[in-house]
This record gives sequence, structure tokens and C-alpha cells, in this order.
Amino acid sequence: MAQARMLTKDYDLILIGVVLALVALGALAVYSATHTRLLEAGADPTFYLKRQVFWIFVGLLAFVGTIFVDYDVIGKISQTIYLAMLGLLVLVLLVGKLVSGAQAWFSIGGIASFQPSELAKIAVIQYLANYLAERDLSSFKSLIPPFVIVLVPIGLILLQPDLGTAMVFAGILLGMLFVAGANPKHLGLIIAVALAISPLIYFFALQPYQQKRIMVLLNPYSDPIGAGYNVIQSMIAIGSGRLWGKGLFAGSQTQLNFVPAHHTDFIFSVIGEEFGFMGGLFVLIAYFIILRRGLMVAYTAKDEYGMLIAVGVVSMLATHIVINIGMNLGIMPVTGIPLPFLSYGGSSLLTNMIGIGLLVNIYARRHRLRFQG
Amino acid sequence: MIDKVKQQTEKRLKISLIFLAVVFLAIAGRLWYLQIIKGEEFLRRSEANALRVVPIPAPRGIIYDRNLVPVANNRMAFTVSIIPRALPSDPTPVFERLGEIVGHAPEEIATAIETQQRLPYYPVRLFRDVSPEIVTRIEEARLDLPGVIIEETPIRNYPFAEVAGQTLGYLGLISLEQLKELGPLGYSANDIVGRTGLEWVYETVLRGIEGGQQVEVNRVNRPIRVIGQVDSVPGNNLILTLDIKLQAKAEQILRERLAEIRNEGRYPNAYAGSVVVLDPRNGQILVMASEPGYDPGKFVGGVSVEYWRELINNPYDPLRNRVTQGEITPGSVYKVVTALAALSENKTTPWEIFETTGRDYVYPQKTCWILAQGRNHGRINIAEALRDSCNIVFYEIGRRVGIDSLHRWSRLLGFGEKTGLNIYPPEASGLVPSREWKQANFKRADQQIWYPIETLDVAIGQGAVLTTPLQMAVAYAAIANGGVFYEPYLVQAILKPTGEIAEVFSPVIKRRVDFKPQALAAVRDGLRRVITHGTARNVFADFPIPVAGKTGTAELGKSTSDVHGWFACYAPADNPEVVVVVAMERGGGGSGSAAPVARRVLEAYFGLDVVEEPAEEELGEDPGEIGLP
Repeated sequence: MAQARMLTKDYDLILIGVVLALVALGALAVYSATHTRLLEAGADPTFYLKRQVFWIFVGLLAFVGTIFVDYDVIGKISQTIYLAMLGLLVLVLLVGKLVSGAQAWFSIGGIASFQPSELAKIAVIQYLANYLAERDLSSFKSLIPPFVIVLVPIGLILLQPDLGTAMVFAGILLGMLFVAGANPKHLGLIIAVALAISPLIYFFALQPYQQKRIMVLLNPYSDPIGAGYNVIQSMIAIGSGRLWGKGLFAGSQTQLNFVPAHHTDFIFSVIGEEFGFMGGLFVLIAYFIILRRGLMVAYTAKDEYGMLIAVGVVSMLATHIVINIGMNLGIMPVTGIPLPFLSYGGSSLLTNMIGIGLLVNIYARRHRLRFQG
Repeated sequence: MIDKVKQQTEKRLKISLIFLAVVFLAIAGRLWYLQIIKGEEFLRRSEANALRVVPIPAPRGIIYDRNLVPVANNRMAFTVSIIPRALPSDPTPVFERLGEIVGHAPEEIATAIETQQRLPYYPVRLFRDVSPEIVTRIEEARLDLPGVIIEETPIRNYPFAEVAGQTLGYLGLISLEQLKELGPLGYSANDIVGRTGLEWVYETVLRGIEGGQQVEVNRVNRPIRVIGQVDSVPGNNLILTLDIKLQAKAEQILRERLAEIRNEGRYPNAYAGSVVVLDPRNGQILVMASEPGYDPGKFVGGVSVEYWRELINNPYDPLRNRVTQGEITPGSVYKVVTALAALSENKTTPWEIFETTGRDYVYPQKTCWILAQGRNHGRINIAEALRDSCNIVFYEIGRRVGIDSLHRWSRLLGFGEKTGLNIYPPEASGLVPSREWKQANFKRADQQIWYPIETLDVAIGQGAVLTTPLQMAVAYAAIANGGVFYEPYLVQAILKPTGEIAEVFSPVIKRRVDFKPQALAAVRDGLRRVITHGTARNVFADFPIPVAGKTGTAELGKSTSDVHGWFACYAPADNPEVVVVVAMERGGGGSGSAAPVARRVLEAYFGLDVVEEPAEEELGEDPGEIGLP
């Protein structure tokens, strides 16, 4: 009994419960999105479901592992983790395999694929938190080192190239700098400059397919059977779900494969079509609970290092959620980043479970501050 | 200091939460907009995405002859097609195996797919109308042939090929004028319709109602399941008055005789002719043969360039139905008109004797054909004048009747107007000259005058007179039946696909002319004598059934080969049940060219030629389960 009370007090069960609910919903949506296509091809209809469930268990193991390692231990080896991650990003450029135009994957024995840029987010978050903790960020100059910390992996990821993941890093950096006490004017200036040079990036740094995706955001119907196709079909899927949805396995857009990549980047369209506005709202509320709990963790963290890790995880999840759902709803460019806990894919699930593990870890150790102070 | 930092951090965490709340509210608002405000619209679009209607073609109505022998029906045609998307990544083995079965080089198949491919999921039609054996072999090799499909659709079939081709007509892509007419009935611009003949006249009857299958398709347009199906309704069937067996026989006889005439050498341009067989008791057309003809079957699925070129380059125009459209000079077959006019108007009597010398009494330059042989017809009455086809007597009585009256009687006998047959291309009206006609059709005042000498030409069916074989058949039918002018017809009933009778067409009497019995008797007497002692006596020697008829030789110009041969007759003479009219364009004199054709057609009609046709019983017996009205 006492132990149970401990558990409820120390571990954020609301956060864990909501994440598990989302993960379960994700597995169901992945199955709904893939089973007809697999059946049609004469394959095992549970092929993707089985893999997703496998990764859920891997993710849960990583989650539990993350809880039990004191995050202070991570702080001590944070630079090593960061540098090892940079090494992996270089390696993937050299030996990685190409998936839909991006060289972002390691093939593990030909069975599973692994995307190091996903885990790189955690590595960057913890290193950045370690660097920013207790540091005075009031001068503009003081912002340069954190930018370098993030821009190095961003540069390596853009070489893959993966615009979406790079945007997530930007989100993490801005979120953490803001909470760490950077001058909002400085951050505003940086954003303004980034926006001002974005046309240059658009014309000189972006691949044509990425340019197209941004054009399509402005007007999906400019290329309805090409780059705009995904967005239009996704909007049709979600819109046609109306209030209550068409029912599980009953969404024509989903079951007849009108939305491409709907088990990964467009999984929200499956939920929107089959579970309607209520389903979509449920997902939004669940995410908001997670983010709010994450900020709560930051608020109660025993030290600034823990607080900043929590903020980094929240920033990472929030950027993913907003960009991905925004893309599904036709208000964000198609950048190909997964929706946390829902999209099919092991690397993403693993990364997010570790992130949640860090939040639970920091929350569980919040009281030490009081004992020490 | 630490507290100040902590305060700032707490403040910024709160700002972050508010910021996230605002962003999430915006996303929820977008969700609301898409699903609740625009939900119905997106639902419609998702349905439009996934639902397709695959048309199920309706079989066209069957056309039967009077003995319920199908003369135009449908058959299922197999087409071997390939869906490019369903091919394996290396399709060469598939092409090799398929090529082996259909007897084509694998490269040919690869090229066809390359050139014809439109969309990856759209079938490329490789081999149309393949044999069932090939279909069986493909089905057996199914596992080796991914991506290969057999499509099956009903297509028009004409079991008798060229027989009655112009009468039946052919199918083709709807024309602009047709679309204007049929558009309101639901026809569309790529419909295949009857383009001419009965196929066009009865287009809306023969056409069925297209069915459709509502299928759900996936992103690559592949049907996943059938949601609903509306079966097609076959078109209504026609029962014709034609006797296809007799029609085939008549065409064969006509063709043979034209070839014989050409071979004889005097009339090298004898390529065209027509035969019409009509029932004088009701106006039913049993045979409508026009040479040269065409095979409507060659138009199914699109006529080939070579065949079409062959048809339109033929100077004798095989697309023309000469029975209804062939306006030609009738010559002496027209003399019955003059005879009936003169007898009815009391300008002569059956017993008046004409003294003939081979030259007209008033215009000596107008002579009788017999004068060229250094002879004349001597003292003859009107029946004998018909028997011998004496021009002099008809000049004389024509002059007595006068052009106005002759014109009136011509029109009464149905010349110069359409018979009323429901057919396409439309019938020609022919031409009966009159004073009004001259005034309307000539420019100079001296040309507009009717000269008395011109009446003589009309009296013997020469000059400007033009008639169609069908008009001639209707006129002789009226002589045979005592003055009843039926509208000739080709369709006696429309049957529903179930076999029930939808409509029966009864004979339509257009006009009844009360000929004086003694006038009719004299003309019939004359026509009978043509066969027994007159111009057709040699051709009809030993013919067991009494026939009454008239030869005609229409001279067209200076050239001796420019002569149309006519023969119009009915039989049996005492109780007529059949009228046969034969016109041989540029075939020479009627007794030599047309009368032999008529005799053989009558032989076939009365079954006098059975010796050489042991298979006849078989041919005639195919009534199916449908009862004759």
C-alpha cells in the first residue's frame, strides 16, 4: 500500500497512462491503414502491426531503463553521448541506405531499419541542457555556442537531406533557449533573420522536391497529382470523417489507399477519417496533457539541468505534433516527420519513449531538491 | 538572484504552456473547419474518389427474317488485354508465353504495350476478337501470365455477311446529326449506333439499356469490390418481312447474271442491278437486293481503311440501296401506266385495232424498236401492243391522253413520290415530267414549253421519266391486286427481349384506285401474253406457274451499251401472291438481262429449284422459342 502510494506520488501515472493509450491507438491505426493493402498483396495482414508492437515493447524497455538511470549520470557523460551521435550521423551518410530520397537509415541485419537522426534529438537535448544549465544567456554572444551545438547535427541531417528533422532541432533549440532565459528580443531577431534569408535557403539550399512541398503548402491544388496529392487526399480523408468518423476499418480513403504513407506520416488522417472530429480531438487533448505534464515536470524539476531536459523533450514532441498534424490538415508543408506514439516506425517510437522516460525520471527525482535544500 | 532566475523560468514555462494551448486551439479549429464545416463536401469527394461506375453494355436487339432466322445478332468477342501495372518487373517471360499462344512475336506485344499504354492500370487491348481456343489456352496458362486479362463484350454479328447488307445497314460511331437527334434520348458522343439501313431506322428500338456496376476502386483504380449492379436490358428484336434465304438466292442470281452479261461482251458495264420481291396482298418486302453490296460485319468494331476505300472508290457505289434509291429510266415497263390511263379515260378500248407501220402517225421520226429489224407489229390491240412492247400504239394513245392526264395517272400509280417505306437512306421519289416540272426546272422560255412530241417519250417510259424498282413493284402489285397501293414495309413486328410482342405492323393501304375492270383486265391480259407469246416467251418457256409481266429496255443515250434492262412481273397470274421487279443497270434489253433473273427468283420463290438445294430444310428451320405474331 505504501509502495503503491509511492508509485502514484513519484511516477507521473497520468503521463504514462496517456502515452500508453496513444501508443495503443497508434498500433490500431497502423493496422487499419495497412491490413487491406497487405491482404490484397497476399501478405500477412498483421505484418506492420507486429513490427509496431515489437517496437512498442522495445520502447517500453528503453522507457523503463531511462527511468531507473539517474539523469545526473547522463549529465556526466553528456558530451560523450553528443559526440558519439555526431559520429553516427556522419556514418549514416557514408553507409546508410536510401529510403524515399533520404539517406537517413541504418539497416540492421536487413531486418530492421534504424534512423540515427531520431535519437540524435535526445542526444542534443541532454547536451544542450547540460550546457545551458546555470548559464547566463543575457548577451547575444552567449547564444552562439548553443547554436553551434545544434547547427552541427542540423547540417549533417540536411545533408541526408531531411528538412523536417532539421526543423525539429530548431524547435528544440528555440524552446530550450527561451526557457533557459535567453533574451526574447534576441530570439525574435534570430527568427526574423531566418525568415528573411529563407527565400535564399529556398532557392539555393533546398532540393527541388522540398521546394515543391513548400509551394504545395501555399496551394495544394497547384500539383494535385504530384506533391499536392498527399495533402489533398489527407484533407479529404480527415474532412470526410466528420463528427464521429466512418468507423474503424471503414474509411474509404484509408482502406483503399488514397492517402500515401498513411501508416507513417499521415497516420492522423486515418484517425481523422475513421474516428472523426471526436477522435482527432481526443488525440489533441492527449498530446496537450503530455505536453502540459512535461512542462509541469520542468516546473518541479530539482535542478535547471533537469528542467531544461524536460523543456527540450516538450519542445521536441510539440514540434513533431504541430508540424505533423499541421501537414495532415494542410496547414504545414509536407516534411515527412512522424507523429509521436502514433506513426509506424521504431526509431521514432524509441526516441519518444526515451523522452517520456526522461520526463518521468526527472519528475520522480524532483524531491531531492527539497531534501537537499 | 536565484529566486529571480527561478521566477523568470516559471514565467517562461507558463508562457510556453499558453503558447502551446493557443497553437493546439488553432489546430483544433482547423480540425473543426475540415470535419464539421466542410465535412459534407469532403465526404462527397471521398465517395467520388472511391466509387466508379463500370458500364455493362446492353446487347443490341436481334433482327430476324420472316422465318425467324437471325440476320443480325450478337456474339461475345474475346479480347486479350494486358494491364501494364500488373505485369511483373521483368515481363519478358509473360510476353514470350503469350506470344506463343496467340502466334505473335513477343517483341510485337512489348511494342504494342509501349505505344498504346495510357495509364498503368488501364488495359492495353492487344488482340481483338480472338478464338475461344486461344482463350482456353490463356486460361490454362493463367499462372504464367500475370497481368494478362480476357475481356468479353457483345458485338454485332451478321450471319449472312453481305446478304441484305444495304437494307440492314451498319453500325458506327454516332454522327453529329445523329447526336443532335438522339442526344435528348441519352446518347453520347462516343456511342456506336446504326449509321444507315434498318440498324439506323430502328436504332432506338434495337438499342438496349446499358447497365452498370458500381465498384469501389483503390488508388490505382483497381476494383476492390462490387457495391451495386444494374443489369443491362437487351434491345428489342425485329421480325422482318424479308426472306433471307430468298434474298441470298436473289443476290446470287443477280450477281451471276451480271457477270454473265459482262462476259458476253455487249454490255461491259453491267455491274449494278437490283431485285425486289413484294407481296401484292399486303406490301411486305420479301427481297430487296442491290448489287454491288457490302458486308455490314466489316463495320463492326470500326471499318478498316482498306475496306472503306474499296467501297467509296467503287464507281457503282455499293453503299447505295438501288431498290429504293436507284432512280433510273424505266422504258417499256412503264407502258402499263399509259395503257391504264388511256383505257380509264376512254381514249381507247381493249378491242380497238391499231394499224402500225413502225413509225408514229404524226412524228415519223419517232419509231418503234422493231423497225430496226425491218419489220413492224402490224394490226394489234392494246393487249397485243403490251405483248410486243409496240411503241407506236403507246405513242398514239399517249398523245390521245395528253401529258396532263398521263402525269395524273402516273402519280396515281405511285410514280414521282416516295412509296412510304420506312428506310434509310431515304427513298428517291423518281420523276414524272409535266408542264409544271418543265416550267420550274428550265431557264429559257422555249425550254419551259411542253412540246407534244415529249408526251410520246413519257408514254413509253423514256425521256425524263425516272422510277425506282420499288415504285415499279408497288405499281405492278396494284395491277395484280386490283388497285390497292400498299405502303411497302420491311418490319412486321417488334419483340421484347423476353419474346413478348411489343408491336405488330399491319399492312397500310396508301391509296385505292378504282380501275375500270375492263381496263385492268386488258392490261393483265397484255402482261400475261408477254410471257406466253411476247417479249419474255423464250425466257419463261416451260415455266409451270402462270406469270404476267413486262420487259423494259431503257435507252439512255447514243452508246448502244447504255441500256437499262427491266422486268416487272407477278405470279401466279390468276391469283397473284408475289411481285418481282428486276432492274439491270446498263445490262442490255430487259428480256435478255432482267427477265432471266426474275425467272430464277420465281423458281426459288416457288421452290422449283429444290433439286440443287438439299440443305434447304436445315436453313429454314431456326425459329427458336419465339412465336410468330
